[in-house]
Amino acid sequence: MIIEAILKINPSAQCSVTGSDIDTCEIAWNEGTTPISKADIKAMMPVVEQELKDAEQTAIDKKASGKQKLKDLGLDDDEIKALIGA
Amino acid sequence: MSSILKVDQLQDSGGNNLVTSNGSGVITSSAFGKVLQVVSATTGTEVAVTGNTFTDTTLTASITPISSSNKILVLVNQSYHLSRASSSYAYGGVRLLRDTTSIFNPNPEDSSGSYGLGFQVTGQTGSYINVGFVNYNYLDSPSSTNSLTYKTQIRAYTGTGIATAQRAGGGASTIILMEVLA
Repeated sequence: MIIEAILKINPSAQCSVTGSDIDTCEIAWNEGTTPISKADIKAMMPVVEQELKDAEQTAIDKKASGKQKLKDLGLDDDEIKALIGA
Repeated sequence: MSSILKVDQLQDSGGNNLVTSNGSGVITSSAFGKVLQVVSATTGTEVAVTGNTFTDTTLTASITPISSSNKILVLVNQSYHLSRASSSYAYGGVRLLRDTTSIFNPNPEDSSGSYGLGFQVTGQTGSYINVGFVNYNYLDSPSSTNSLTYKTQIRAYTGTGIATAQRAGGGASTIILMEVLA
């Protein structure tokens, strides 16, 4: 989540993060990447976390709506399962 | 016609014992390969990398060979994940170092990094994660009796996503060093 937050702030950042706790992790900035403060990264982490949750929910919703549209076209559950595996 | 040769010991022309039996089927040998010592280490520390700079994974172990003519068999089970951000693919690589020398770097690479490991889903983008382990073995001939430190490194292919060792929930990594009389 830390490195995702870094990339959210600077999509072209090149760095490494050792450890999963923002307060104790070590961050190395590579290839001339301008360092970002831990405070800024920490502030971005909830945003990224929410985006990931939203993306997961969107995928679930799209799957459900797609399945419903196939049903509306007249396909039964077995035919839908054969097509999309669910 | 068959024949049986019964001996307790085989020696070379210099009188050196090659194989010795205790008479009950248990043999000892100084002439054949054997494992002399084993060292192992495990880490669960998460290390995430974006960009093409090889980075220590914290998976490391040290061994001091008994003889400079012996070999070190290195067995690596590396927890390795790749995730992509906005591109449709993610690539990366791994390598093995003895002290500061890269001794095993199996992935093809170019100026943007390594691309031997990875995945691509054409036409889709998003934060997809590929979870898995990378296993590899390497027989090293260090020609040394000094303490040797073996470690692994990972990196991503520039602009394609994130390479992570020991990602949270993805399992720990293990390295085993075996000094063998080859």
